[in-house]
Parts: sequence; structure tokens; C-alpha cells
Amino acid sequence: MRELFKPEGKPAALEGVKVLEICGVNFGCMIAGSLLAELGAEVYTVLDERAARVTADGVYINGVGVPYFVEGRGKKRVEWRDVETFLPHVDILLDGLGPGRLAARGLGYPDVAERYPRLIYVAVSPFGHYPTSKSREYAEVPDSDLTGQAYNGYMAMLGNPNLPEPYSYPIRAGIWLAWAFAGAAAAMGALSAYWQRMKTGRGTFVDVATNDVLSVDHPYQIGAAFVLNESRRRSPTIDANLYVTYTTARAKDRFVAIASVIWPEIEAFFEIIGRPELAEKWRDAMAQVEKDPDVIKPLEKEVFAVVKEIPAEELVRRSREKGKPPIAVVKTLEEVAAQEHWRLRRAIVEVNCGKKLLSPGTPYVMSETPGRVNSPC
Amino acid sequence: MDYFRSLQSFFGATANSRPLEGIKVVEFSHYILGPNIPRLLAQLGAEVVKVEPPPRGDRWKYAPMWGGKGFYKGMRIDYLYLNANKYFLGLDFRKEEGYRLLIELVKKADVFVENMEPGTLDRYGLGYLQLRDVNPRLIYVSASGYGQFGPLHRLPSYDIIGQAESGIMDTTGWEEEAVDELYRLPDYPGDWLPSTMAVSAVLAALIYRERTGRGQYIDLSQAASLQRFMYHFVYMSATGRRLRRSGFFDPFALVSGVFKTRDGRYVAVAAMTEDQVKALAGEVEGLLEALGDRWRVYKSVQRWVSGKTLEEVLEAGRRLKVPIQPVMMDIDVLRDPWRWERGSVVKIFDRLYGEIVVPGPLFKMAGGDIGVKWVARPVGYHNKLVLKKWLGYKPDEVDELVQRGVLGYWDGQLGNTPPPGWKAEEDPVYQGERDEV
Repeated sequence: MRELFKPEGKPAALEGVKVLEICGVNFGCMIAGSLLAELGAEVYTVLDERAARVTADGVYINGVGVPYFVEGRGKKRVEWRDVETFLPHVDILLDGLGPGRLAARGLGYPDVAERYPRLIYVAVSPFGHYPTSKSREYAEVPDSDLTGQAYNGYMAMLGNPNLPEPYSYPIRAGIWLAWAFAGAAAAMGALSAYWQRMKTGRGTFVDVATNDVLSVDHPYQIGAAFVLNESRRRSPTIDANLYVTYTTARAKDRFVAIASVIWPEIEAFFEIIGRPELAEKWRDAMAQVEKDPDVIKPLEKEVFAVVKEIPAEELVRRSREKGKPPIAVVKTLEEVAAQEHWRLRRAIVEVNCGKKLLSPGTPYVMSETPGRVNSPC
Repeated sequence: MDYFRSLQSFFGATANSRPLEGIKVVEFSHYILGPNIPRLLAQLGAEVVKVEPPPRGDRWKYAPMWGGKGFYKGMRIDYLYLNANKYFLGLDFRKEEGYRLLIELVKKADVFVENMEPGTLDRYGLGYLQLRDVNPRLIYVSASGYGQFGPLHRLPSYDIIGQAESGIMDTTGWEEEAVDELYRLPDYPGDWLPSTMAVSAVLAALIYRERTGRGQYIDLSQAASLQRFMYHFVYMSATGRRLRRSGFFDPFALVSGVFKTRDGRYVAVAAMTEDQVKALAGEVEGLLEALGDRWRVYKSVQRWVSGKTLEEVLEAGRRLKVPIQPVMMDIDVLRDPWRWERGSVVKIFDRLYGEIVVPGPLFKMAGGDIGVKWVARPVGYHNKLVLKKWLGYKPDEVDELVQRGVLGYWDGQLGNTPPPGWKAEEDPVYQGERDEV
């Protein structure tokens, strides 16, 4: 397999596809450009200096912040004054400025669609460009990942409500999850429109809203409220959908992730921790949970007390020996960075920018047209 | 002319284009990671056949959900969504005749998607190298936790394992003196996000194939897909320090957090740039002086937020042009008028399940007819229709295959059954006489 996926000397899938991104400080938009670049598109960017300054703890590398260091990779700069002359050569225009901003410069979709009917125009904004009450109301408010995670209903399910305030408040996914979904959706929209253009010769308008993309991609907020007619309860341990031990847990020495989903895995898990009799109790509790949502709590406490007595690697060993359920030690960032597996796959790469740095690589492992990891330096 | 009004004409145009119309996909996958790829392709108009060994097939349909309340007319709600717009074929590929039939389908397919443990399908003669010989134009996607090569590739995975192995869990939670906890990210983003990213790879591979005639193999790792967004590695190697687990702070924002309003609602605030901070500082006392110390910043913003209702904070966000939004609960998401107006939540009429609320498509496309047309069906529901459309089989030939155990149907258990009152003899789609839409 490794031989099959060797990247050397192979073409890229999107060779010849030209993308212009005008993203402002919208990293969902920039992520879309980056994913297209990793698939081989030639991406040009009108840089907003404010985006390059976004960083953590004042850390800058070669003059740019940490996120831009990754999302600016391999993109060529275009100045505002050159956009008009460049546009006729562009296949995909990515707009992250918010509805009406490019239109104010005579570059909105209604303007450019007439001049360049083959152009694919992809917008990423908090509430979309599609005319709605909120797209108008929030037209001038910039996008952010945190508000995207909040408005998608995602944060409401994350964190430990039993902690003291404010630690008990909803928290965020540790990555830009809403912007990652927005970027992935925008790249997908751009390429489906490109495919359509190959058949019809016509471009189109694709509109991504950061504030809904996560909750339409994964269906739990809408699905749960539809069938339960109420919101789910936040649970840091027992999975809020499955009500089983699909969870992280503190083992004797460190955290583990336990993946029991279907009943044979749940039974195997209780055997692994030396408490097979808890399986039946759990099954009984699940039969009553509809009437009494707290019925699992005492069992949960008991299970986690047992897990806390077993070393993490021992749990992993037992699960592998039994064949189920999958259990893994929760890796620290340092451990992940050191793992050969991810380096081999180019998921994490080393780049030389005056100093050797680690950076996310590309997830696009493809046999004929491998994803490209462009150098940030 | 008003920008929004001029845009309306593009979206108002006859919505009939389906970008992937004519693309054929064979799905051989289960749970979420695999099935979400064809789900999104089907949303865009591809014809997807989900192949399941009868009578149980994809086990995800049986997983417990919300203590039994997660089923809608006998099927799990998320399964109904995840497998929308697909055709269901109950085929025992372990039988020689079933295998041959599957190969015939593969010959007609553009895309094949699987997410079994690495190596599993090779043992059944359905691995990439085997199917490439049958159909060199095939785009074959394997989705797994660790990918198809590398020292860890044989290990089994679920979303939560991908999360643990990617390092993303070590970014999520609290790492403070008072609280040191980490959590899994809820609702299985280790499945949904990588599978969404994979669709772009499939589309790029189709574009490449159109130019060259060559198919290819796409090897998707869920952990590697999550790592793509972990800027933490850069920070760590640049500074020699780890970026702490973030709690409710966006570490890349100048001001951020989740706050409680006077009326007890949670609200997220994130000022990403200096101009946003400056605007906020006009109202938030002591903000500029506190910059650089996230808890001091937090306290100053909390003092400001706690004196206002949610509506007042949101109004300030619009006025100041600073991202401020409520932390929505499930029920808020479902009832949000904006989502209904945009089409992010829609009610469709499904032939079998009647009126049902479903999530809209991932994006709006001008002139595009994309989104959910029908929801999932039980195992084998489209046996007659699929074999007629793809291979020209007659209904009695399909019945013979059923008798020989090559094809089969659902088991009637909760999660794998048509809705109450359904009658086979009155259903022309089940009989293969007409299409779903």
C-alpha cells in the first residue's frame, strides 16, 4: 500500500484549476482555499493583514500568525488593484468578506456572473448570502469559529456541567471545528460546481453559512429535538446519544477512550474491567431511562470508579486481547507529534523555516493524484 | 439594486440542476464515517446503492439511541438522515453468485466507498487492487481510523479512537489549576468531518478522471483528517510549549469566551482582530488594560455581559460589529426561524414515512436542486429497482435470487423495518415498478 500511495512524480488532481480567495479574516473561507490547494489547484489570495496577525500568545513565524502559517501555504499574493484584470482567468472565487462587501466594489455575484458566466462564486459567511432576515441583519458582522460552534448548538453539548462556575459553562472543541466544517463544505461546493461546469459550461453561486453548516452535516441537534421535542442533556462521560460507555475515562495513570457502541462491545467492556455483572444492570437501566433519565448515574459512578483502578495500557492490552471494544490511550499532543505513523502518512510534516517546525500536512492520500503539502516558507 | 434582492433572482431561478446526476456510487460501509461520504454525494444528485448483507446489514441502525426514544416510525432518526437519497440492496456477497452480482454493479460504478477494518475487503476479493482490474476507471475510497498503511494501520477505530489518537482530545477541556479535565468531542466529529473532507477528494478524482480516464484509490484516515486543523503542532514546535486545552476560549482570538447574561443565557463572544477589540472596549470597562491575560479579559467582559439580557448583548454585537452569538440548545436549533427561512431545516414528505423534518443541504447552490428527497429504507428495500435499473433484471429473476439466498430483506427488528401499516403489494417502488422520485 505504501508503494501505491508514494507521492513522488505524480500529478495533482486539480492541476490547471485557478482559485482566487478574498477571505478577509474568515478562516473558514481560507480553509476552503487550502483544501483546494492541497488537491492541486493554483490558489491566489488577496491578503488581509489582520488575518496574518491572528495568533495565540503573540507567536509569529516569518511575520505571520500560527493559523495563517498553515492556511496561507502555497498561496500566491494578488493585490486588490489587480483583481479586476485577474478575474477573467479565475475558475473559483472564494469570498469570505460577508454579503454585499464585494458587491460594493462591483465584484458581487450579480456583477461578475454577467461578465464571467463560467465563474464559480463560493461565499462563506456567518448567516449566508442567501437572502434571509439574518443574512441582512448580520451582513456587517464578521465571522468567527467560536460563535459558529455556539450557534450550531455544538458547544451546548460539550463540557462538564457539574464543575464550579464558569468551568461548568459550555466549552468549545479545541480546534476551529465550525470553520473546518465550513471550509470543507465550501471546497465540496466549489468542486461539485466545477464538475457541473465541465458538463454544462456554466458557473454558479455556492453559499455556505458557518452558523448552520455543522448542524446540517451531523444531524443530532435537529434530529434529537425533532423526536424528543426537547434538548439533550450535556454529559462529559456517558455518550449523550447512545447512553453507553462511549467515552473518555480517567484510568489509574491517564485518560483512555473507550469505544463501546453495540451490545457485544458493551458486554466485552464490562468483562474487561472485571465486572461482567454490570452489563445486565446497564441493560436494565437503559430500559428505564425513558422514564428516569438519572437511572444510569449510580452505575456510571461505579463503572468509572473501577476504571480508575486499572492502568491505561492494561485496559488497552485487555481490549486487544479480547478483540473488542476498541480502547486507546488518549494521546498528548507531544506523543502524537512524535509518532512515526503520522509522519509516514504526511499527516504531520516537518518544515524548514529557518528553524525546523512541525505542521499539519494533508489528509488527502490518493494513489494517482496525491495531496500536496505546500511549504509555508 | 439591493444586493440581496439581486441575488434572489439567481436562487429563485428554476431549481433543477443536480451536479452529480449520472454518477453511480456503490456503498459498502457502515456506522457513520463511510456512509456519510455517499450521503453527501447523493445530496448532490449521485445515484448511490448501499449494499448490505441481509438481513441486518449496517449495524449502526440497531445502536441504542436516547433510551429507545430515538426511533421514528421504527427507524433511528440519525440513520434515516445519514442514509437519505440512497437505494438499498440486500446482497450476500459471501455467496459466489452474490459476489458475481456485486462485481457486475462495480463495473457500472464510478465510485466505491468502504470503511471496513483495513484488509477486510481484500479477503473477500473486493479490495482496491481486485476491483481496479474489474473497473480501471473506478474511484475507490477506503475510510478508516489510521489509514491503509503505516505502523498503526491494522488497529480498529471509531470516531472516539480517532479523536484520542489524533491529539484533538488533548486540545479540548480545561487545563487550569482549578480544573484539569479533557473530553471527547460530542456527536462524533471524527466521523462527520473527515467524511465531508473526503467528498472533495472524490470530486477532485472525478475531475482528474474526466481528463485522463484514470480511476484511483483514496485512503482516508479519520485521525489524520482531524490533525489537519491542529495548529497546535506549529505552536508547540515554534515555542517549545504546548498550547493549553482551551476550555471556552478561542486561543487565537484576542477576546473570547462563553458568558452568562442577566437572563441566564449563555452567549459566545469572539473578537478576532484589533478593530473588533477596540469596538468592544468602548463598552467594556477595563478591557484594554486586561489584554494578554485571558482570565482578566474574561472577567471584564463577564461584568459587561452579566448586566445585559441576551437580546441586549446580541444587539451590541451587531452595533459594534463583533461576533457575538447565543449558545443554542437542540430545541433552539430546530425552532430557529432563520434556519427554516434558509432551508437548513426542512420538512419533506417521504413516501414511506410521511412528513418528516430533515437537515437541509450543506450549502445553497443557485439553480441547484440539492438536498434530501427521501430518507433511509430497511435492508434490501430497493432490490428489484436497483437490479432492474443497473443490470436489467426482471422482478421474477430477483425473486429467484431471493429464494437462493443471494438477495434478502430486513429482519423486522426495531431499526430495520418499514413503517407501521406499510404494504409490499401496494408499494410500486419496492416492486421495482417506479423510482423514488
